[in-house]
Amino acid sequence: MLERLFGLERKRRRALDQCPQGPLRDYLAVAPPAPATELEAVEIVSLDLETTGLDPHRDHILSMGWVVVRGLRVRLGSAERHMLRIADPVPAEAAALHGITDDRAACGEALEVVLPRLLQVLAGRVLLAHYARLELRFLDAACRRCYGGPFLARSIDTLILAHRVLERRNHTIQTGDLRLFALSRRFGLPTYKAHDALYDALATAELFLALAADIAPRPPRPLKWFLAGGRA
Amino acid sequence: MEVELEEIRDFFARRPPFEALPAEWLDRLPEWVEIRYLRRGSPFPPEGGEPRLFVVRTGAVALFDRHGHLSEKLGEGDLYAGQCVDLAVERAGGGEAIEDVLLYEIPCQRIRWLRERSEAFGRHFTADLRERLKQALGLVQGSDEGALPYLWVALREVLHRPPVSVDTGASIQEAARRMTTERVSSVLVVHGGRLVGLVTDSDLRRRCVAEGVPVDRPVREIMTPEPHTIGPEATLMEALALMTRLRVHHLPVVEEDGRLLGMFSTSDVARMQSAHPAYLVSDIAKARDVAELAWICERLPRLQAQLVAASASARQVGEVISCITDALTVRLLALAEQALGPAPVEYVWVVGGSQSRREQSVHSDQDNALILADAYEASAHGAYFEALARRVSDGLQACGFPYCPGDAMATNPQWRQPLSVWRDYFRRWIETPEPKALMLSCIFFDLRPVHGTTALFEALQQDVLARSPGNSIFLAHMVANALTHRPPLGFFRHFVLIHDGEHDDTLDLKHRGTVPVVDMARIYALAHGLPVVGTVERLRAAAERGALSREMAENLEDAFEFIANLRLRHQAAQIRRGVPPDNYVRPAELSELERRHLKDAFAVIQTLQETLARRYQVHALT
Amino acid sequence: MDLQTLTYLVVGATFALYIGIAFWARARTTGDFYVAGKGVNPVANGMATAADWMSAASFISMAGLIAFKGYDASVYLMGWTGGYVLLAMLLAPYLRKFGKFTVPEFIGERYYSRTARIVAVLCLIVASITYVIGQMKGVGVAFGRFLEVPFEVGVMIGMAIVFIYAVLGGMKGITYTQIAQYIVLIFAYTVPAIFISLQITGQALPQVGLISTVADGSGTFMLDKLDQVVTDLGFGAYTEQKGSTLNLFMLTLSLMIGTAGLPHVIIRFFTVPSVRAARFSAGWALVFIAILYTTAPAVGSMARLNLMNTIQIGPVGDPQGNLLYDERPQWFRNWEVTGLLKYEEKNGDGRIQYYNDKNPEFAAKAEAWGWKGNEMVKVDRDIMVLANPEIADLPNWVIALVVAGGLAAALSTAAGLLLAISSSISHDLMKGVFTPNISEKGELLAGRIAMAGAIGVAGYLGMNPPGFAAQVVALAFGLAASSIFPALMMGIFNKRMNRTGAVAGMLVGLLSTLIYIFWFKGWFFLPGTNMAPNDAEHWFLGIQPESFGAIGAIINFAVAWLVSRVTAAPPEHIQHLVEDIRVPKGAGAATAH
Repeated sequence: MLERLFGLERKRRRALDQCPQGPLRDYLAVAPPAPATELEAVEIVSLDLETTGLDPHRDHILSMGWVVVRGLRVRLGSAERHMLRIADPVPAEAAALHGITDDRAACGEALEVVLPRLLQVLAGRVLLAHYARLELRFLDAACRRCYGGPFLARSIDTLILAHRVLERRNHTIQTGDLRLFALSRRFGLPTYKAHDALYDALATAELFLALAADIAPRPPRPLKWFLAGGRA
Repeated sequence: MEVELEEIRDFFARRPPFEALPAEWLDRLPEWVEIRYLRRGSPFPPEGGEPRLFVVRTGAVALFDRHGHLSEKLGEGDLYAGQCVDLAVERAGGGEAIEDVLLYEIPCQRIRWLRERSEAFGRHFTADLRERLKQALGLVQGSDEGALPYLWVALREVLHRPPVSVDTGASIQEAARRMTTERVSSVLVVHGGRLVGLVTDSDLRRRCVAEGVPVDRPVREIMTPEPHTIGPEATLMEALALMTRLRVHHLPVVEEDGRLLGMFSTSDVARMQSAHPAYLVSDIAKARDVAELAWICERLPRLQAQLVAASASARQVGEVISCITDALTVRLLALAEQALGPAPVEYVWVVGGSQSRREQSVHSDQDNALILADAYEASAHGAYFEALARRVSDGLQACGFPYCPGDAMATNPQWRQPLSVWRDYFRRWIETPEPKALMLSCIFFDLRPVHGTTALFEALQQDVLARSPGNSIFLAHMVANALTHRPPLGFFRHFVLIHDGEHDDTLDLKHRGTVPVVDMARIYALAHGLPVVGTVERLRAAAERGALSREMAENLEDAFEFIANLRLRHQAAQIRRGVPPDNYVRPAELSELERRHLKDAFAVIQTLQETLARRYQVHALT
Repeated sequence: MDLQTLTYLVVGATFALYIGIAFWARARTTGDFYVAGKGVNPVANGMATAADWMSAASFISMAGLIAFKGYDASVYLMGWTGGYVLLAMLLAPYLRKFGKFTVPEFIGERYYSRTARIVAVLCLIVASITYVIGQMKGVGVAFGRFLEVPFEVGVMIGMAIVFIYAVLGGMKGITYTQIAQYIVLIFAYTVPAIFISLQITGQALPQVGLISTVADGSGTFMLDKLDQVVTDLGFGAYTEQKGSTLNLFMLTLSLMIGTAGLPHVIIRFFTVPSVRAARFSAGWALVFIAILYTTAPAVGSMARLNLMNTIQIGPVGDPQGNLLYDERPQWFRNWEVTGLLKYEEKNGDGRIQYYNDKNPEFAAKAEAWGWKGNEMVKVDRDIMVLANPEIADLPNWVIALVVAGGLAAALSTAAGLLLAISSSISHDLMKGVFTPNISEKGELLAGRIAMAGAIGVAGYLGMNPPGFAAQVVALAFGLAASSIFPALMMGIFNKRMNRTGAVAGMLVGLLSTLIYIFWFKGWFFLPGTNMAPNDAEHWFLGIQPESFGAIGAIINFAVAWLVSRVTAAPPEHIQHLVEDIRVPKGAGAATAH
């Protein structure tokens, strides 16, 4: 674990050396919080992406929503939601799931505009997502495409944390139990009707607060207890 | 950038006090929200950070009083404003999450910002809090209704004396003398009418005596220069918060234009916490002349407006104002006795009408009378009591309580008589009831002693209460009189609006709302010999006796309070708009719910009126 | 404009006037009147009292009674007037001093007994309902005639209208409305009387016309002429006394003392501020009542003369002397519709013979003329006042005015009584005795149901009347006389009178009177259930049922006195109370301190 983490830091420095000037370089220039940092002192960005599919090389990001958690409080004032413009038509199943139609997709912002904003927000912070692998892979693919460098981040994955908590409680876990909606409900958190990147990011953040309180009700609770690992 | 968080917004939009916010502020609300998770058993409110308002999103929180007993439970949607309103009151026993809780937090600063911009929000906010505040204060006072939301009172109303100040050039000794003669613990230092500094007892100790500074040095050498000040519109809570933050005990109150209004000190708070309107009352009791009393009374209209703004009920307002008027009367009598010497024979000063029933408002006329001992001789003692009555009545007038247009005052020789004459008056009113006697009865059948030999009043009251219950001719006339004011409700339960050219399309909430209830309550009191004078107390006592069904008594009480509150709020709104207050309300001003309640209230009054009309066969009398 | 339309218009207009006045007066609070120092003037109050006092019995029936009974009917005049004076001078001031608004209240407190109070309540309810019967009959006559429907239908319409009037008007009785009613009423009564008096005697004042000579130049006095006309047809002389003197005396007495208990009248004495003002306005009321009462004999006798002259157009016995049925005037046809006037052809000559076939001597003479009995089988005397202007051929608007007056008289009295009844039942009986925990809403509902019930009973009995409307009322007076009056008098003037005595007296007095009346008139006035024929031969001492109230009162006095002597004296405080209310007011105040 230690090796891996050190590995992330090493990778970041190497990537920084090779990265051309631009948003990605600025992002990589800021060191993420050390794993020993108390969770309260860590700034976390809860992120959710809506995509046209699961393959980061073929599929596109339709929308992004994020909200910052600081001092273990979700700061709604920091919430952002971005619709992205994509050239290809939106596949029918994705459109049905996210309610994003071609029209709306066509009116969105360009990835080249949104990505720098996200990188700016993420700088020096920890990424939080439900099933973070997906977000990490799509962002990595996007960064490589746009800036020719890898996306590197410390991340927290509520799916993994929830799995751990439920296992510890000796719950038998069935299919669907680890879905964000089901978990929110299980932890007595508000469930949002809209299937929307920002509400999912918000739900993820709230779920994280609940899971963190379950795993370690009081300090000390170093960040490393919650991290998902360097790169997917 | 604007981010739509409609589901969060909607959560607030459904809940008081946020529901009162205009859409534009409601849309902005989510961006100020922070979300926190409290595990079951965590202390509440959570520590750290700036003062915030908490709203329970999911889960439950228990609050405890200072003895550790559960005082309140907050569930989904409930809010806790302890950090936004006051430092002392709600901190008492703290709280605890009794379930896992997701909390929404909004900084108090934002709440204040909203309160400043949306009056409706401010009102709902305080209304919601008042209940809990009452509970919290109830613990201190041990009474159920005694506590008043004084923390929302503006400083302007709290100032109980003109500022005590010295010029910058004055010596330290002069300042200390001034403080001694005025019996204050601090003095303001002014230069050309503007505040430049502040000297307190502790300044004298620390900076003068301890340092050995000669007392003939100018006071500015030991003053705290440019002290923090506060505006007169700030609430008591805000002043307390500021004082706590600055760790000071005195705050000069200064108008926006720099005019010095007075000094607010922590002792003012202590004084106010001891009992409800007692702080004003104790000022009144200490006042040295009519001018000072008049000065104190200047803030009464605003006090009433503040009480209304703080969602005090008409009943509470009535009690406060009557209590103050009582104190005023007692003080004026004491001042008059100081000037005229002790009374030659025993007397009791009695009040009638709304003051007696404790339903007074600041605009009420004065109704009073003097009952003298039978030893009274007009030739020997007449002049003394005339002068006494004149002084008190003029004093009340100076304090904003106008003379009675019907001349039902102790200054009128007819109402300044020995007990035996009073007995005859009442005997005549009861035994040969004539309409004019009944007009007067409204005032004199509600008498209450305020100062003097209470036994004189009690003798009279016993006489009346022994006579009236058996006399159904008298009671029937009283009913006929009470029925001259009927609720404005038509055959189809529609409002019958006034069309007199002056108050077109309005409802008279006083004469057709509260007055009929007051009149009927009086009839029950007279018919059953009940010694109480308050309208609600009379209804309750009548129900106790079985004279009135409990259901009707309760309905009538609700109707009375509902209409009285509506009227009070209507008048408060008029005063705010700078219009002279009246009793005429347009149904359009009311919400659908209020209109429905008002109709129900009128219908209750109508039912009892018809019952009484039938019982006393009033059709033959009118 | 035809009569029908005009009647609607005039009746509508007068009612609009009452309602308008009610609204006008309502708009001003009492305060406005009195602060300005303009109290209700005793003259105005007197008019209002007179309107209350004059019921349908006074308005509709009294003249009818006089028309047919002649001199004997004067007892009604004397009885009622005397009763009014008795009430105003002897009873009201003491009740007032006692501070009691209703008679049952006084009785309940004076005899420290709820039983006594309940008995008084029941007596008054019975008396009041009986009195309402008279009003219902009056309303039925008026509606029957002017809506041209049978009398029974008229009564039913009247019931509905009285109910609405009492429920709505119960809250709206106002002195000024009463004044307007009085004015309409007195106008409606005197205007036709003046016209008729002018026609017959040439005198404008009916009171003068009554004692003047007829205007045909013959120089005979009107009353002599009437006597002659009626005796020619075998009827008793108009001015002759027909009943026994004892009976007449008892009837007058019953009427007088019976008045004392009637609730709607007694209340009127408490509307004015002081005893002095009450006496003053009572005096004025007497004046206003006298205007109608003194007109009544003239109306009655002239109506009779007109009626006789209409039918008997020629000399008695002359085959041409009687009116041909086919030539009967319009008013005759109109009243036939109501069933209150019935003609039956007996001798087949197509002419109307109207004579006294009960008079054997005259019947024999008639036989000789070929008359086969009285063909006017029904002439309801209550139609006289209403038909009078038609018989005298007066303008239509006068006729319409009389209807309006009759209705006003009936409705205001009926409404006042019904309210008193419903108040007694809902408050005294329901709340006071049977269901003490009744809610105010329940009390109101009970009152309305009681009112509807009372109207139903009164309406039914109005359709099956035991006599003339005025006689019905006389019954009410009789009942009140036998029960309430003695208890009141002894309550005020006999310190020793106690609870047992008073209750026993009331019960015996009431029962004896009721039984006597039912004995001759049928149980509960149901036709055919009477135990003995209702005539002078079977009457006790020749005293008719209507007069028995006075006997009942004497029995009441006697029983009460006897019972009270053999039982314990009333409590001390009651005895003091009795002394106190008898002491003049000023003295009471002076001794108090």
